[in-house]
Amino acid sequence: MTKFKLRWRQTGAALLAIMLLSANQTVWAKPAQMHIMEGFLPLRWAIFWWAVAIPFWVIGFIQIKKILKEKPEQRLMLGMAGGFVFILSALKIPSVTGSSSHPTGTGLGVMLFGPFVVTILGTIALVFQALLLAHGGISTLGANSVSMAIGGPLVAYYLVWLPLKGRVPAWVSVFTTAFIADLMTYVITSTQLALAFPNPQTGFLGSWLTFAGIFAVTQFPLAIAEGILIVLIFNFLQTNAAPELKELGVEGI
Amino acid sequence: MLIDRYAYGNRLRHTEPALKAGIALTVLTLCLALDHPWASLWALGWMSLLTVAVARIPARVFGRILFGESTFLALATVGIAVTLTVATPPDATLWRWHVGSLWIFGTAEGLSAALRTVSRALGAVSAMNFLALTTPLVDLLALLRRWHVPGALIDITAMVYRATFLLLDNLHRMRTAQECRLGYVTARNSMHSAALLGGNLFMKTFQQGRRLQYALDARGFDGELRVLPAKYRSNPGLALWGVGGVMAMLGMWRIPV
Repeated sequence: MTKFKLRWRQTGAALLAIMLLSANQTVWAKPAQMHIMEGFLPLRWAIFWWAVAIPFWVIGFIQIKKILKEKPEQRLMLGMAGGFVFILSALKIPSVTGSSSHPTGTGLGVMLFGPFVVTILGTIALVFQALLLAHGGISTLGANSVSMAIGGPLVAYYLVWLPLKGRVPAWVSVFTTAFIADLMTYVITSTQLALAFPNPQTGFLGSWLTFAGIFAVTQFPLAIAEGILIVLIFNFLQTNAAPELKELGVEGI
Repeated sequence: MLIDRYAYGNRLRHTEPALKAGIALTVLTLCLALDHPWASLWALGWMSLLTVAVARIPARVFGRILFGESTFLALATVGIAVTLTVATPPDATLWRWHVGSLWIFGTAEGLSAALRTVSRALGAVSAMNFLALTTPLVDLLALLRRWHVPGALIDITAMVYRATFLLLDNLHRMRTAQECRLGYVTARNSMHSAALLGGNLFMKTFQQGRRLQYALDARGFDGELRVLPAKYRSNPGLALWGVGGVMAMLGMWRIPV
């Protein structure tokens, strides 16, 4: 029994050492989100994902136009909301792997601002990450947008948030929506990488498993941590910002 | 926001943004279209030279930003170069490793694909970093307006840019206040602190957005933000550098691999 305890202490010390080491790196760490970097995708895949993204951008833009026509002053509010989605990725949250990570913010954004508006705001956030943080890229903007600003939020909104809202305890629906939005982003990115770089021996599936396996180490804990964070933020907002939530039309959770 | 700081203070700050964007986008497109390791490495060298020697961005800064995404690059490259399978690998492997019933191995083919991807990515990243480090976002937005991107979209993007710095300032102050009061000391506690920060930031966003709206309404805001365009200098020297670099890149493309 004592031997067992001792081992636990050693494991704890080792974990702490890893945490300290990785904490040192976070000083100038990029957001730990999984964006495909500039130039990483071959030309035809870069073009393909741009083509996939464009219809969604158009729908999002038409919706924003409609909002602006009804309330022209919303232009400023949308800008502030976009800044919020972008800044949210600068929040540091503890993650299981030890290093701190950053939420994607689209999970919260989709619950507050609705799906297609988040597509536009998320894409603007991606452009900013590419130009201001050198994270992601312009040639891969289409691909990253499909995973982070389109796929993740839309799936989370239509398949999780709307069906669950009001039927289960609020924390369950909020957590699941944020978790799925993150997880979908990671699954879509792995798929994009595997499609562009299928393994010569094992094909698309083998390549997909390799990519998904490599990135699961960072992305699974991140999705859980973000889920917890957003439940806490939502609790805070419900007690402190009820009028603002009502103004955005977030009700009946 | 290291990049933003340099974008406002470098030797190419007042150069016509269309020229800088033209060079960066041409090199980026060529890196992708030619997909040739020597051409990509040439792009990397040439764009580094333009950024460091012409725009006078410190080499250390450029290097740090260039390799900022090395974690993604390393992990994704491993994903390309390494094969995981339960079947016995073919004879022509560079290395192989048997773990339980699983084979992990790499082939020369996979390695060369990985190297090609790395050089392409680094060439493309250096081209975009040249643009990001020499051109502030406001100039790029003005350029997009000239290229007839819808005004509403540009206004929102400009607002996001402004909001980012307002909120970042708020974020830093709130975080400092939290840290002074033992926020973020344990894992559990830092989750709580981060949530308070995110929630307060949302409320702050709302308040500031509303205040800005009142201020603009009071000045007769009709839904469009109009500002005077900045004046830029033409820079034939840079144009020559750009054309020369692109020609040399096409020359590199002829080299067989």
